[in-house]
Amino acid sequence: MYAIETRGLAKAYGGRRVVDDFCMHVPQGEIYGFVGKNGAGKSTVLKMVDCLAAPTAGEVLVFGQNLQREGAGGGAAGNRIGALIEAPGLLEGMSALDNLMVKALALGIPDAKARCQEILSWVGLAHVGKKRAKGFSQGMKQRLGIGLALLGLPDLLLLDEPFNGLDPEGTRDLRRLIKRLNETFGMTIVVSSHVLDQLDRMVTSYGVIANGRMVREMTAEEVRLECGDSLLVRTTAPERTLAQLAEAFPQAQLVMEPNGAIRVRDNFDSAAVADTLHAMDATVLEFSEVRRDIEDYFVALMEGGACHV
Amino acid sequence: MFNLLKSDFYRTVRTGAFWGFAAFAVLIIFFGAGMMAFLASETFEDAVLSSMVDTEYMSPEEKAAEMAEFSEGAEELKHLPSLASTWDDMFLDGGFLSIVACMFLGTYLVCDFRSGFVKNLPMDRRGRLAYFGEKLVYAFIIQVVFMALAAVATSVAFPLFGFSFEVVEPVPDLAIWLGLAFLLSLAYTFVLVVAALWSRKEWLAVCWALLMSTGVVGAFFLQGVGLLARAWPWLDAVPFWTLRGNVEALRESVPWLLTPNAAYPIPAIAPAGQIVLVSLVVIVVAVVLGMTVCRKRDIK
Repeated sequence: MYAIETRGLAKAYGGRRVVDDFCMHVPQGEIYGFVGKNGAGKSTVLKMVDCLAAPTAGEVLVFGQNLQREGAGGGAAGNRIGALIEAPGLLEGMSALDNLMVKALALGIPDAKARCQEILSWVGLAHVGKKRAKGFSQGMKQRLGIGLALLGLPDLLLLDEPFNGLDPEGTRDLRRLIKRLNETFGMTIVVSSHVLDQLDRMVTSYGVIANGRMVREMTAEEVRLECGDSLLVRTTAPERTLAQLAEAFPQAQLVMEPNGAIRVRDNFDSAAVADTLHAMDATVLEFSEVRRDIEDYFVALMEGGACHV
Repeated sequence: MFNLLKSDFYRTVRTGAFWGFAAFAVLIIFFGAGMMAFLASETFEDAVLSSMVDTEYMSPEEKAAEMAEFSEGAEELKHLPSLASTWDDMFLDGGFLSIVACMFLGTYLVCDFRSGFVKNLPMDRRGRLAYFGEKLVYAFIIQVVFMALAAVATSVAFPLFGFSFEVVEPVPDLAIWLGLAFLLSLAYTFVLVVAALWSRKEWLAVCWALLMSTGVVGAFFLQGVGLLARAWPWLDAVPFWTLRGNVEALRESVPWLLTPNAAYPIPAIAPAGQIVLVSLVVIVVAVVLGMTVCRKRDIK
């Protein structure tokens, strides 16, 4: 069963579809990186998953239940979701501890005060628990927002741009916390973020959204393979070179680019390729190892470009 | 829903707004009683009488008559007609109770949406039913609290400043009057709650509280209807079906309210029955709107 499954999901505002025919599959127990440009529809999708917005079409299943359906089919998984979507929703006139207490009482959490204090220490705010949220820095507000999302120890945690406003130390702490929650409690965590470098260090699967549609879903392993090292070879006889290399390295992925350069991926040995070129007596114009940047890779996906080379 | 109520009361007692509004309500009532006591005092009487002595445009006879009338009026002022009518004057008729309860509730309810705190709560179908239902229950309880506070403050303040009541209604009559007054003010409050939960705008909630819940708009409306009724007499029945029209009926004594009245659209049910009917219709419509239209709106 998926933690989140959306089928043909759509949302329109004033006749304009910001999310359209969107299909998402988040396996249980994963840390899912949700990537997309500003305005691509990430927050709208997360709002629909969290039942803050009703879909114009399609449906959202959370742990197999449609939470928005009217009637007897309506599920009770709402309590299993914790979310920080867009800005942290804080009662700024109250202290950090009181903010957590208000939510803890609303959820009916037993021994609410102890849980709130525990959460404050998780998000590094134990020392300012009695201070009003109004005086907090952006990063502290963000931490408190994450604390609120974690309060019910949800099975599904939705974090929309959680690194916003965090300093490097806060970013590192949050990344560690996300991994710990995932490993300790088996929590499924969806993180939408522009900070690809941070996502790369923790997520186990990715979904890429562009113009309100899911462009691609893949595991982190697939991304690593596709972003992995490749060898760029350019000779005066590209067709003959491609044929020779394909014969010599049947397990490698060989693609000829429009300028005649040949890109060699997967299971290649640079020295062996060089020997082959030497043996065929080709005039080599370029021979270089290339590491593709994850950012370039996702930018290409977000712009709707082809992902395979 | 019980958990949400616990959470709301935790928040209510931990923030200053509730205490501020409650203190304001009590202060205004005591201030009103104090002002009336001053107007009925010898100090004020002496000041007015001495200003009359200096008046040149009156003859000595006119001055003497005017002074005697004023002294009598000041003395009468110290004897209030009844406890229920004092309650009516102090917190119902002028919309004071509504303005305090509605201003507090309007800003409190909108705060959840303005701050985004509502996004922290479960908003699936069950969560929304519980949330919006609980807000109506919370508004009911807050209305009880403010009404009790206003009634107690009025009952204490006036005797404290030396006023006496010509008639103190029997307890059942007072209970009936308070019950009817509560229903009417609850109807105003529930309409405000729906306006706040639907619009989620603080300015709208405040304007609504100031204009609608105080009965200002209602009074203008009834005035207009009264004028038009000269041409179309069937419009005379409209006030009986409005909240404002029924608030005005509460100026009458409880026995009058309980006696069937031929002037009413449904003579068999008496004015009190009309008040209950109109209030309940408004309350039921507000609850239905709150649990459907307001509940289904997206949360931004």
